[in-house]
Amino acid sequence: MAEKIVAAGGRWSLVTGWTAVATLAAGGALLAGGGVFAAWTSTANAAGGTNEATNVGMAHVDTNGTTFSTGVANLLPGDYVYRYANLTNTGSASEVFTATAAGTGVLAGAGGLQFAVDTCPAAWASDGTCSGTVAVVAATTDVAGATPVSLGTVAANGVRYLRYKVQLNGTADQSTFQGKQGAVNVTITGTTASNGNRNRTAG
Amino acid sequence: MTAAITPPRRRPGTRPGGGAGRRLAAVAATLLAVPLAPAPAHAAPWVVPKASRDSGTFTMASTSYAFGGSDPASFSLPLPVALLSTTGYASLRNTGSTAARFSGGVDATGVPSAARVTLVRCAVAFSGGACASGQATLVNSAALSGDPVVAYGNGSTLAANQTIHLKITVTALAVLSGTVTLLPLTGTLPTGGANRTAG
Repeated sequence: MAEKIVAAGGRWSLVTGWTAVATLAAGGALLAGGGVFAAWTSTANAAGGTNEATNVGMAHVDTNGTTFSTGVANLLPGDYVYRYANLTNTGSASEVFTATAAGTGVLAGAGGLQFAVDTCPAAWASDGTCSGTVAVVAATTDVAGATPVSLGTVAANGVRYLRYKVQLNGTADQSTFQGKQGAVNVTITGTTASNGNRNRTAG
Repeated sequence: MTAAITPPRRRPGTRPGGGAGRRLAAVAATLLAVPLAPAPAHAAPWVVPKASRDSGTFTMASTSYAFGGSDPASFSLPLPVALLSTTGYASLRNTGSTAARFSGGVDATGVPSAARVTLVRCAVAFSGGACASGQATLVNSAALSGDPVVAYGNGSTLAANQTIHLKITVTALAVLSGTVTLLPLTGTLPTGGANRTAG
């Protein structure tokens, strides 16, 4: 607002001050009430650029010749399987992903099936090797009672190269688990890395 | 706003009433500005729809076995009366899909307390009481009253579908009678640790 309030005769007086109070208060009340601030009619119309809200999403795709939904029979204590998956952030903002494992069946009880997650900075090779340094996201732990695992932050369009390991505990109690079955469910959740409220003046 | 406003005392060099007017104008501007200020944002992160994956079914191996004879779960050797030594033959096969170790007790019913048992294993069928190959003594003249436990693998596992042949000999200083039974077995799987990604 560039306008200036000047009292008659170029002097400020108590009367003119109160007049200003009344004028501005009335204007404010009108504005707060949704009315038109009719006294300020000068406008400058500048068209802003298109502002677009972010979108979020993910894709969790089997890879490397393995299928997550494929089971294995006749596991001996200590036997394990790998399942590979690419977790892609299909949204337009960075997202933080979390994996939660849960088990079903007797074999997924405490001391039975175990679960671990590793990542490779590049796609896993077809023979299961990693061209970079394998990062342990979650060390081997029982599926029963497993706590959520942070898969970290993935930038927009970024990919996390995951390797799940499902293992039968090497000391599985045979009187409890022989011939028993179990399965593992993995649920991936993601949230935007930022809560917003950012100054996006620069883009 | 109901507070009474008294004219301010004029400072030297100032115009009458000018300072008060400016202060009031400032108050008014503040009152005007407050409702225009944006409400504090309570933003929350956006949640991505979940991806849920179910694994296939994992199954732990199990052990199974069968004694040759009418009862695959156990083997019984009746002891005729009026003999001091009796010998019987049995076979045991690992019917599971994986190697395993088997063990089980030897039970005696109606047998003199001083009776003893010897159990010999052979890789091939006994011929005329002799083992042509792979003989090992599993129980060596143990007192039957103690229900000795037999480790049929003799410290090693029996491969899947492997059959071993057994010779049981019961002796006593007194006349024998009753029954000796090889009880149902406990099977133990070996430690694996193999990469089963391919199945």
